[in-house]
Amino acid sequence: MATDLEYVRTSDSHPPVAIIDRSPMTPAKRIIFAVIGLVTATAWALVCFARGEHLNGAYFVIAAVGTYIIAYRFYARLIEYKVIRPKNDRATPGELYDNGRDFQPTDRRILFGHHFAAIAGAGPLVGPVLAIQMGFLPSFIWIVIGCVLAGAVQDYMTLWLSTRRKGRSLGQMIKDEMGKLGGVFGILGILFIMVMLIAVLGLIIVQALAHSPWGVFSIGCTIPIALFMGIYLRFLRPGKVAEVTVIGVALMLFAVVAGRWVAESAWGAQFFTLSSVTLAWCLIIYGFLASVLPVWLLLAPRDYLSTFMKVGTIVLLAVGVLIALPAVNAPALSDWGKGTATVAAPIFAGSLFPFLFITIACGALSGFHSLISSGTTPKMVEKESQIRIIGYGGMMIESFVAVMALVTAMNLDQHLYFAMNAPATLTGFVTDDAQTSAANAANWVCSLKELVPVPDCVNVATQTIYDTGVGVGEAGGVVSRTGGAPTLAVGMAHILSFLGGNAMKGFWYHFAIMFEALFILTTLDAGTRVCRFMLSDALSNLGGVFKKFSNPSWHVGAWGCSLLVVAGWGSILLMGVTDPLGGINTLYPLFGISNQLLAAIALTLITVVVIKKGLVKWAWIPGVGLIWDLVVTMAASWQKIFSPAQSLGYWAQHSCYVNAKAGIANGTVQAASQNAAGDNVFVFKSAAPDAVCSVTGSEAQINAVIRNTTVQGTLSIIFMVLVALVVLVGIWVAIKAIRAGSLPTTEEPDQPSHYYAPKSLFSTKAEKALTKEWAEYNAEHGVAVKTVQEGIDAVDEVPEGLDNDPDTPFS
Amino acid sequence: MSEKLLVHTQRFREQVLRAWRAVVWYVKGVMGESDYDTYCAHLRRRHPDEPLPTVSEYWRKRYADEDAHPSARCC
Repeated sequence: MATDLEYVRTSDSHPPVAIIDRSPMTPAKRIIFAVIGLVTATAWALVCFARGEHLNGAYFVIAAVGTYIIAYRFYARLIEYKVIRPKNDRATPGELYDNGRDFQPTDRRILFGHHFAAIAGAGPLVGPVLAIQMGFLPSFIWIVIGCVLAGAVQDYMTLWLSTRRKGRSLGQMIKDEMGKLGGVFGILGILFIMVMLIAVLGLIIVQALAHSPWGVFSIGCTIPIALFMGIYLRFLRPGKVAEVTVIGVALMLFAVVAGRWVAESAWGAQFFTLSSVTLAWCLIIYGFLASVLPVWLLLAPRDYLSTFMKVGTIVLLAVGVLIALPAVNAPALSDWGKGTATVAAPIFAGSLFPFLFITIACGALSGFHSLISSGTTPKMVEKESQIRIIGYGGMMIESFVAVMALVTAMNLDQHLYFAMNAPATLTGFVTDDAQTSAANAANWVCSLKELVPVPDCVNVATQTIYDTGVGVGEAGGVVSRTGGAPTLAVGMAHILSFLGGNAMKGFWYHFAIMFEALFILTTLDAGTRVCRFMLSDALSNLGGVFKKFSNPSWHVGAWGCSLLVVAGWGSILLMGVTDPLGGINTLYPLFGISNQLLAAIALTLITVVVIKKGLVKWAWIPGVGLIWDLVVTMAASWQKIFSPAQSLGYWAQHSCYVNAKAGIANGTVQAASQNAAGDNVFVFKSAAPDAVCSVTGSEAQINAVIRNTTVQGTLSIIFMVLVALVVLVGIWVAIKAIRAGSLPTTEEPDQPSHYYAPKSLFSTKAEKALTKEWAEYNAEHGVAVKTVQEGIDAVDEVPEGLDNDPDTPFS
Repeated sequence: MSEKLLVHTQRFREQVLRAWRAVVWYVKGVMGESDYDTYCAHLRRRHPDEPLPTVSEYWRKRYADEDAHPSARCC
């Protein structure tokens, strides 16, 4: 055994800095992996073929976890062995530029938690919920397989690129590896995409909180709680982060409980029942303030709460799923998934390919992660071999969260699920009348031939929908609470009802809404701030009078940029909440497309670097994910731009409404009725034989749709063109590299490491022994360490040019 | 017999204590509470002549840094 271990030394004066373990798999391990493989395959078979009562959520968990283990052990190992080739005798940026602050080698287990808290959020919770429209099977397959072959690969390899480049940001690396032009397109793409992501995340909260006094109160409370925590940390007990977070979480749980009392009181119901437009404005003002207020006051404490809740709720959900063994009520492949449906898909338009992949987004592949993997995390890595568990492993947990969200949502009654997620135009939702809304929605869902028929459908569904609203403490009901978050919250309340029974359902529902909103608000605060820095940076690069923008303490510039960014996402958000066609339904595809396009940018960079390093043979590793992602996103963008189907193509929709407007103007379209507000409602259908257009609405609604589709259609084109340009530049660089055999990359030259840390979350025997040796050595040579590290001290301070990197937004 | 029991309880208590310490270490690490100690250790090792900041000074500086260099949080 011992002969298979090679100790790597960089100096004779201190212990070895790395262990290369060449020992083959022990027979015991082989047997364990064989058993895991068998169990996983069985679980997959059951998920794919067992139906009805033979199937429950636990099989999904087993199939997913087994696949992650096998993929991590074999596929990630292959990537490590063939492409990453970690050099553990090479100093990481954390070791080299150690400044005790952002550059700081951090224990791998802690960094894993850190990285996960930074990548995880509401995305993986929401996407799978919406995707169930197509059926659970394709959603589940994509969440697991997409993670293993694309998402985790992207996270892992971006982290690797950045770790070898002083922790540089994605935008900067694109510029370095693919030239200035590629860099400009890249930065522009990232900026647009982030604004879009923030807007849709904001829309999800607004949809969950509109007309929900309980929700508004408990989420509203997180702001004073965060302020209290900030002041506590600043003036009362500085540095007591864990303590104040525990206090904050306790206060937040109390706010969730108290929300019921407030919502049930007359004044509370009146004061906290807000329309979606009011809420959107609140969010916009909040977003602006959060981005200009000092970090210690609001952003940092909220981040602490969010980190704490992320780990807590995910564990809670996992335990809930394993105890409750939720039944599966969704079909494996719905009629919309098969493409045999007679009506357009109500939750998101379009066919399974490509829109399922767009919708699931973060749980399988998330471009946003590449911003995290090239930012904070690479500056804290201790050893290159650790990035496999942090990058690939972190994404596996994120994917697992998505699987649990899927399991939770597919447990819901299908009629309830569609009543909650379809837009108000279909369900007949009536504000502040839960009974009528439930009846209207029931009428609509029971008319869907795509759902499994139930006897006495309308009565049963009305009762289920109405009771669900009452059960979770929503006086306004749950009809058309689109966006995924409320659906997941109902599912969670259901699954966690073993804790406290029906009486606690309201608490669990609002607990789930609260943490989703918390995650989203954290993303929104931080995202706005990051965008603001990117924008001021981009402006300062224009030179001339704009140079001033590079000074972050120039308040006019900072506030102006914040205002611009907030105006960007705020206007999309307002557009979404007032959209007559249902904001989530029209905007969510743009959210998914933009996130997947960001992934395409990151995967292009990775593929280019792999080719430049002369590893063309292995370019398929990032290439598989890249090509699939490009096919999906380009097909989706194409359809969204060019599809002649009114429900699918933004411009098709646009021209329908333009025609309707023209018809009203020239008098060929007459008012058919009046709506509740007393406005004339027009009904327009394009002439036979194609009759593809059907428009019903007031003049104001028609104008709104014309405006919204213009913005949505234009954004689709911008996203698609920017990404296509980045990819084209990438192809051009790759061809040059293939012709030359290989090209120099901007990888930093190797510096010897004088530091040791184990590789995986759990140390091996040899690693433990070496860790102990280092501990003894450090204790003995407290001063001598310094002499050993003198070589490093020369570069101890972060070199000039790094601090001034244009990528400081992500530093 | 009772002595054996005593040893067992003792060992059990140690294990529980160890587990608790591990949890505290992990939570403080992920939340960033241990960063102050890490920074002081860094200063002592690399810049032994520089004075150590107080906890309050350290966090003020740290938040000021975060103000100037925000990091993204994902969806």
